[in-house]
Amino acid sequence: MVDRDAPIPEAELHAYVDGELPSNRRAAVEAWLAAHPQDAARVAAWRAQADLINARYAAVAQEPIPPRLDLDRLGRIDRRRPLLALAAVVAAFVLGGLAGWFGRDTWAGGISGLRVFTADAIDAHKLYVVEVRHPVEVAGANRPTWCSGSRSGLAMTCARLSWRNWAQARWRTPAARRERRRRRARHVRRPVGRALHHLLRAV
Amino acid sequence: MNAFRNNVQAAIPALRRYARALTRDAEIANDLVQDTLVRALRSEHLFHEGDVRSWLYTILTNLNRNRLRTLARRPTLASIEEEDAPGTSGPVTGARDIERALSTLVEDQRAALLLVVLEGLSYREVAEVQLPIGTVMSRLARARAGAGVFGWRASAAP
Repeated sequence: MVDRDAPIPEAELHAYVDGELPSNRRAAVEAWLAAHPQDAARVAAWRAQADLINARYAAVAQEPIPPRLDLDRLGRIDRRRPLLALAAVVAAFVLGGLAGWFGRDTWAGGISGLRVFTADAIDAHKLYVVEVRHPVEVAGANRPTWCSGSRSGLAMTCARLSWRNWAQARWRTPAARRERRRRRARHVRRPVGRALHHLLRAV
Repeated sequence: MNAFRNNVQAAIPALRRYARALTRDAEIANDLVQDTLVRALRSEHLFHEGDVRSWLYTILTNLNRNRLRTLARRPTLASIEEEDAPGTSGPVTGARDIERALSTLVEDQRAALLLVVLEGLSYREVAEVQLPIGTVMSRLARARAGAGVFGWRASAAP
């Protein structure tokens, strides 16, 4: 009959648990398990493990299928997508080309923000690069005198920001009015000054 | 709807079950099944004969392997929340242990174990998913030995 002493390979034990064992080996394995409780415990453990896995996950197959797994919908998306992508690529190419063609003169020769910025930076560099004593910047109080004269060719003063000075600048105070009259009189007295005065008014 | 479509449709519940056990995350599982279905529909012309079901299992297993490979290259952002509400299916006791035990397995071993135990595929069918059949056997054996370290030793010795 069955040889009880022939050792059963582990693969056959697995096959036995999973119902993969050829029927003519079944009796031999069962006899082996009856004689070897340690292997019988292993087989029982594998079965229990399988039961637990099924108990945990078998119900997932009974759940309603989410709508996003609907085959018709997935098929539609799959068919539609390449056409859409192609259309988008063509549209982007055509739009870009048209914009480039019609807009080719818009920025050519115009003053861009970058160019203005660059010019400012170069001016600042030219102004300060000759300076040895103040390599970075001149303190605020010294700046008017520093800027005046040979550097810029202009006489510069700082505006004093008080109400009196503002009004004086607009010829509002009595002293300013007197000054204005005095200047007018001086213009009248000096022909060149008067000509300049009229010219400025005309402009 | 043709026969191929019908077969795919019929396999969806089982695919969801397999994906859920494989990833232990409902959202990722549904993503995997969706990718599997899209790929299957797209390559319908490549499928000539044989079992649609094990073909779909193959696609899903490969997609999951790719997913894990991509994940391994990225820094991990582990979720603090629990993935699944415990005990929504099956007994509450042991459900956590099962998930933990499955998560300790190497991906290929987990796939082999689940395909045999949960999906009821024959060794030959699993071999179509993961060649060759000797590899399937050794993976199954190691999965059973490895997963036994956790959880069900106590419950398995009545």
